[in-house]
Amino acid sequence: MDDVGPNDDSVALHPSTALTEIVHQRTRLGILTVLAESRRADFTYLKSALQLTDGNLGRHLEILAAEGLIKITKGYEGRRPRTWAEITKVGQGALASQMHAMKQLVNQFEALNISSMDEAQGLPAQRSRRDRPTPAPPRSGKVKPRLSGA
Amino acid sequence: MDSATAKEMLGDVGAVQRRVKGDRRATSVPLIVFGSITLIAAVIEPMVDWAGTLALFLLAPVGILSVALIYRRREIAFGLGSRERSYTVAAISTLLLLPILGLALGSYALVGIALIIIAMLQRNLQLAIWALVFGVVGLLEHLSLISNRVYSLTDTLGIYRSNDGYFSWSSSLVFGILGLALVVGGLLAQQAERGSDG
Repeated sequence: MDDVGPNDDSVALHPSTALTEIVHQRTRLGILTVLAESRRADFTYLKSALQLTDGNLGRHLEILAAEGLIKITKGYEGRRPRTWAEITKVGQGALASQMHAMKQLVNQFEALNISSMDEAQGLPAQRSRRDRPTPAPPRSGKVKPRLSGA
Repeated sequence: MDSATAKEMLGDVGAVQRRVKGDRRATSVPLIVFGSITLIAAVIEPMVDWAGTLALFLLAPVGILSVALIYRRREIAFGLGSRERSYTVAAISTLLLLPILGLALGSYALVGIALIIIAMLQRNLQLAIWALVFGVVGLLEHLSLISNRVYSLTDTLGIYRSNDGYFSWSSSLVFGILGLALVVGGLLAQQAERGSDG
């Protein structure tokens, strides 16, 4: 990866600036995740997988469709009416950016946490991650969070 | 947004992805389908003539189309899609590559390639590992490397001795075991997928 100087605008931006309010919302992120995994899903499946009410899901689907992130198709399967939601290319791109921004945010926090542990132990800050010994529990009140297994 | 929330949301996204993969039977369906056709082919291969051997080269596209068909039925029943159109494209591609890849790698290695294509379409690491194992064993067997070892072993143990010095069923034995392993792996994956249904 290229080294970027401190005056570069891309460095100055916090990862959270890359998050968009539309995708960032928890339920809408869930809808886009389901659709990215399966290309399309019907209203009933989305409702049960994300444990939402009809009204709630309908509202979020409308918002996503209005932004062009998903495409909604209404039709019949035999006599049964069915509403399908399908992720668009724009939606896939938006979800990928959101995931990237969140991962960057977590990585940045963990890097900061490790360097603060080094400082607490009096280790030089420039050492690479591989060379660094396993950190002892920090003396300050800050505790490195565990990755959740969920 | 702070990093704790980001971490929590990434965990939630991972859980949703696992659930959808489980609901789609992303690993079990291809393993059971390809395992079954490999097992059947391994049994009939020594009995058939050249036309039957040629038919074995169609295992891969037939397998992909069968998987696509099962997913299409599941999509209608459960309301969860699976990019089945891409499977048709994959089946046609495998069919077109048959004359080159089939002769170079053998009909069974093509099954491994078909599984790799499905694993890539599904971004499914577990399936990719199975596909890789199948592809490598298929290729080694195409070069008769495993058959020769099986023959030496059966000869040493005195289990089987043929007049022409060749144990003609060894290839079927190798692929029969491999097909059976895929089916068992698929059934175990299915159990795990049912467990993730929530």
